[in-house]
Amino acid sequence: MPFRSLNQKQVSALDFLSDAIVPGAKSSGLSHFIDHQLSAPNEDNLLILRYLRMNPPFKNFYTSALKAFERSVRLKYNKSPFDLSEAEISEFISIMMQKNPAGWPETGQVPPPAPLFYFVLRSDAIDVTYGTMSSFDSMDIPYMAHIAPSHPWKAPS
Amino acid sequence: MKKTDVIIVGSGAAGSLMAAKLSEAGKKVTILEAGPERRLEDLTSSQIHARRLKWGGAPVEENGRQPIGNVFNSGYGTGGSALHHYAVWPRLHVEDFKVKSLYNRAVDWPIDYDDIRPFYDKIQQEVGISGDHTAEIWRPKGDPYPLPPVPAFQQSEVIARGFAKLGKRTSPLPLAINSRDYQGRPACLWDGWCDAGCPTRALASPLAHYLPKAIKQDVNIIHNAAVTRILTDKSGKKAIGVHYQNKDGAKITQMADVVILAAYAIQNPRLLLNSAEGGLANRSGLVGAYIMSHAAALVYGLFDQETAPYMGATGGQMLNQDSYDHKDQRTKGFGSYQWMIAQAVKPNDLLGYGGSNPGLYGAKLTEFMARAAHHFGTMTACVEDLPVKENHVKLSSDRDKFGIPLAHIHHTSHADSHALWQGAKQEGIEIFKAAGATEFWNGPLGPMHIMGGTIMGDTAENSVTNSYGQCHDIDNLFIAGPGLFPTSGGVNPTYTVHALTLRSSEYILNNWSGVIS
Ligand SMILES: Cc1cc2nc3c(=O)[nH]c(=O)nc-3n(C[C@H](O)[C@H](O)[C@H](O)COP(=O)(O)OP(=O)(O)OC[C@H]3O[C@@H](n4cnc5c(N)ncnc54)[C@H](O)[C@@H]3O)c2cc1C
Ligand code: SF4
Repeated sequence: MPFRSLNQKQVSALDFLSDAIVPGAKSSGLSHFIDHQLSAPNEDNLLILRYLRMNPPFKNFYTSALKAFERSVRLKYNKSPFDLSEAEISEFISIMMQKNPAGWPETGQVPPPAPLFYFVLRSDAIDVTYGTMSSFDSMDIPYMAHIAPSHPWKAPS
Repeated sequence: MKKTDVIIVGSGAAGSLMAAKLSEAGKKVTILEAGPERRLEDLTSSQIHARRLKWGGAPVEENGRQPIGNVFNSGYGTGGSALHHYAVWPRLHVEDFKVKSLYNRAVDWPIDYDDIRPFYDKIQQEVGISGDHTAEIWRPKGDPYPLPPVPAFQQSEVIARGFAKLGKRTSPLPLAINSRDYQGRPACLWDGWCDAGCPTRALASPLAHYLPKAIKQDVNIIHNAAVTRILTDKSGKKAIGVHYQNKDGAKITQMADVVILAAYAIQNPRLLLNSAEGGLANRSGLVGAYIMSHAAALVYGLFDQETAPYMGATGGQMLNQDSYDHKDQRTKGFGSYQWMIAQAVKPNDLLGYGGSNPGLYGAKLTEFMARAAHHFGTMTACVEDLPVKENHVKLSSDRDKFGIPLAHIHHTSHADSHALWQGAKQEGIEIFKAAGATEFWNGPLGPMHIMGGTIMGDTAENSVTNSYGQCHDIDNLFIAGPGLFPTSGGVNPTYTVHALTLRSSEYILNNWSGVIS
């Protein structure tokens, strides 16, 4: 499926970080989910960000935070996020959930605070990894749909 | 444009009941609904798809220390918020109507419990509430529930043991959900999809109950019709209709003898404030004041026993109101709260167990999710929010796509309400420990339900409307919904919204010529 809102670099960073927060997010299609929602009309947007007193469009929320993520990782570890060891990315996540890591811009074009980005990305990743019919099945819990979704997260056209 | 008898702004809980009652009595009614049309067959069982039902109208600005969470707490489109509400329907208590007289705090309602009791009784008979009036020892007087109580699944049985060990009592939770077939609607299947909207009609949403009755009487519902202004005659003392804008932005005028605002607690005052310099029906200066929102005290735990957290209704299975009456006798703070015990929980979304413990990630999260799927337990206290005049809706300097100022809300809880919430959280942890939870923790403060903003009262000096929702300044302009509440109590508001709306509808019909003259 081609991406409509995100470029390949953003997709790779999104997959990498979300999978470290919620294992399984990448293969569950997290970046497709976010890309699809970012290109949907505002009224049909299904991202959890809607609940957090923010109004669409949300693209800049994700792209600016991904940029900040890469910048902060490079500053701390002197390498690309993709080269981090498991222990390093875990350490980085434990920092970003509490405060802005060093290098996370706080002036100029400011991305969302790192703890907010962590919370939102974690929720998005839980949506696609645990909130679908197939994931209920693998967790051995009954889905019991009244009306089964025709797609895990695409509204019927 | 043809004139109609009644315009109702909003097709949610209050609007649909009002439309059904007035049209059944022969009035010509038009409902103007800002959001899109929704049908039962659109209500997909998914916590992701469920978000479509949330507020999608003009953005709302929020500030203050405890913002009211407008998007999560409001709906948009046919049925409004009530389309995906959880149908926990307890009554307010006798004390709730007289907080000022009894405790010299807050404000009194202009009515007593006895004034509203017959309407609670009529509504429960019409709609159907499942419950057990004898086990619900705290319940004020009223007819027995027409339906047997909701079943208790493993989660509530496990948690109820904690209450019992501490000498606290539990009863089945009163739900406007059918425990057996009733009024042509089927029994619930206890699958926990209520937050996505119940397509079977087991839950008494507007689409399940009152809207079909209204439509049967040829009530005209116009969707994507955002009302932007209430029109008055030259004297400013009589409403003559409204302006609304359709999806294409065309401004349309609809004239009527009576205008009823049922657009929920934020949009009703926004409309009034936008309709005249200084606000329409605002002699009191109180349009927008006293916005309230219950604080949810969230308690989570993991148990060794299987809890089957996926079973039941989203609203919960059991109730405890030991901390309700005698508002001045709490260990912390002032007011009332109730526990709603054992909500059916899904893995994802804000209220899912995945979100309950946001510090977990990586392998620890995977482990937690697997355990929670079968061993999670939760309960929520609905904590009273004392009315504070400075908690208000005002007009922003920013405007929506139609050029109408946005609503700007300020909400900071009263210190005694905040203390009450903290006390409830601590009590919840003690109960979970007593129930044998192996791990237990609290969530952050979650706002739930929106009330106030156009409060009712005795005079035009202390309130916006009388006890029927009739504006003191304009006889043929009415307000319906929880915006009328002068105090919030510590129970969910929608049963009371129904009882008040039924009372208003009878008043309008009985006094029609006076209202429109
Ligand atoms: C997730 C959730 C769970 C809840 N659970 C419970 C519960 O268990 N028990 C309980 O008692 N309460 C519950 N509530 C609260 C309950 O939904 C509200 O109290 C109730 O719906 C209020 O009724 P209303 O008619 O005033 O507003 P609504 O039902 O919200 O209806 C208002 C309608 O007006 C429309 N509108 C707004 N502005 C305009 C305009 N300018 N022009 C035209 N139309 C407009 C809106 O689109 C909406 O459709 C819950 C709410 C939510 C969101
Ligand atoms: S649990 Fe019951 S009320 Fe809730 S959606 Fe299912 S059938 Fe409807």
